[in-house]
Amino acid sequence: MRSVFERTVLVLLFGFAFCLTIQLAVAEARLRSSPELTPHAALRLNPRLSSAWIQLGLDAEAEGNLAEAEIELLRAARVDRQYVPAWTLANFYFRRGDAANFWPWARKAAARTFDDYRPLLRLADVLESSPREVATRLGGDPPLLRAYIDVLIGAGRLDAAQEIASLLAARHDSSDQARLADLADRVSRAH
Amino acid sequence: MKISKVLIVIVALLFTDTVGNAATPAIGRVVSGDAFRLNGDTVISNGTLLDGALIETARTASSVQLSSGTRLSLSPASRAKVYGDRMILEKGETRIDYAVEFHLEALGLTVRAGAGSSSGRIGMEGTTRLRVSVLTGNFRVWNARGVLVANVAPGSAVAFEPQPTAAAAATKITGTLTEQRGHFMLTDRVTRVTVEVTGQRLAAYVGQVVGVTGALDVAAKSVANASQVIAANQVQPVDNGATGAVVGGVSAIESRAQPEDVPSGPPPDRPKGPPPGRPKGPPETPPGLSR
Repeated sequence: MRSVFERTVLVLLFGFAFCLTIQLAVAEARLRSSPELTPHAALRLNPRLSSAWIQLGLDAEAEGNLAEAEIELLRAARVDRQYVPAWTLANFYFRRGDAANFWPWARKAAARTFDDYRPLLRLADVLESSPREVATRLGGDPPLLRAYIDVLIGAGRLDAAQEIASLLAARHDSSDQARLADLADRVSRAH
Repeated sequence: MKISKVLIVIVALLFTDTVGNAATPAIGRVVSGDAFRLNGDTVISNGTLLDGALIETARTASSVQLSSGTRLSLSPASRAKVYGDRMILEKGETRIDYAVEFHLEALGLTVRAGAGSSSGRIGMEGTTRLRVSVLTGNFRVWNARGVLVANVAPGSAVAFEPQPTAAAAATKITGTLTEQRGHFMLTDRVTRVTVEVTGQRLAAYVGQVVGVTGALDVAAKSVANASQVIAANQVQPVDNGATGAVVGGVSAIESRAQPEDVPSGPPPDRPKGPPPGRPKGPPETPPGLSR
């Protein structure tokens, strides 16, 4: 049984979180519905609006202010630990040819991906010639490995797909058997 | 000894920097206020373009910025392949805001914006027509064989429709016939292409507005400042201004610039609205053809 004090604190915390969420949603909605509303104005409404920081960063990059762009994009990643800021930073560093900074953000993006790993895998695969290394650097989770196999099959790189398949097979997940059998079939037909 | 150590450190630092920032294969980036497709994958907010990237927009336009400085946007429901120096438009419409050594290809036609500040919209109308409307500067259009078929001027729009291969040389133009050192010249009113006309009794029409029907003489080279030579098989005076022409087997129909062709607001790299925050001048032969 919680004391009155504990319940009051919980109610206050819930209220605060609720207000913060509403504020974020309102700022986002206003920015989306008003193209003339600048990211700066949106950030005055809510400094935690990652999409506005991302827009500022991309604008700065377009103007050639790379240092400023990096700062704004890192701010976006600081206020929003979800997929889009990490994905944007991975792309930013990829375009700069900055592999050292690309991989940590690519790994974070992979860990936060909610849907499609393939765009990230395609970028990583350009930077690193070893598929096994790509998979390892991006965390090597089974969903990522499955997506990578699909990407490599799509590119006709069956040997590379087999290499990733061996990593997936080591997980001994029965749900992967059909995929692995399909790959083996493709490889035997190719040879 | 100390100096040599310092030199070694400097060289090592330079080497480290070189290794850490390898040359990037990226040709540019694409930004959208919504999800879009990049090489068949769903991408949110923004992405990096590699040579030959396929962009497909859905409900929102995507803005593209290339490393060369070229800026353009791809309208909603459009599809295009993007390379470092060109775009192949497969569906929908694009707006070129700033072009640097860049051209567009669609329906076998090549469209090149004039240097720098030339801007305009290029869009597919159905599956057989390409509409080019120019906001600033000028755009030139070539057919699949590298024949100049139009110079589109600012404030005007022309729809192009390539004819069947059998009619690739067909030409039907209208303009004032002039004579320059024994050569008969005509600048078509719709396409603004200047051609040299050859044929019988042309001198009788000098100074008149005439309609010329004929065929492109591929073998002949104009000695004057014309882009091509037309062997006329029919010449007749006309009264009213033409709104259509056929040059190099491509029909061209003049159309009024539409309201959306008028420049509006700040261009380019900023699409309307922010990216979502939550994961829920040119040579006569187009470069693309001469390579």
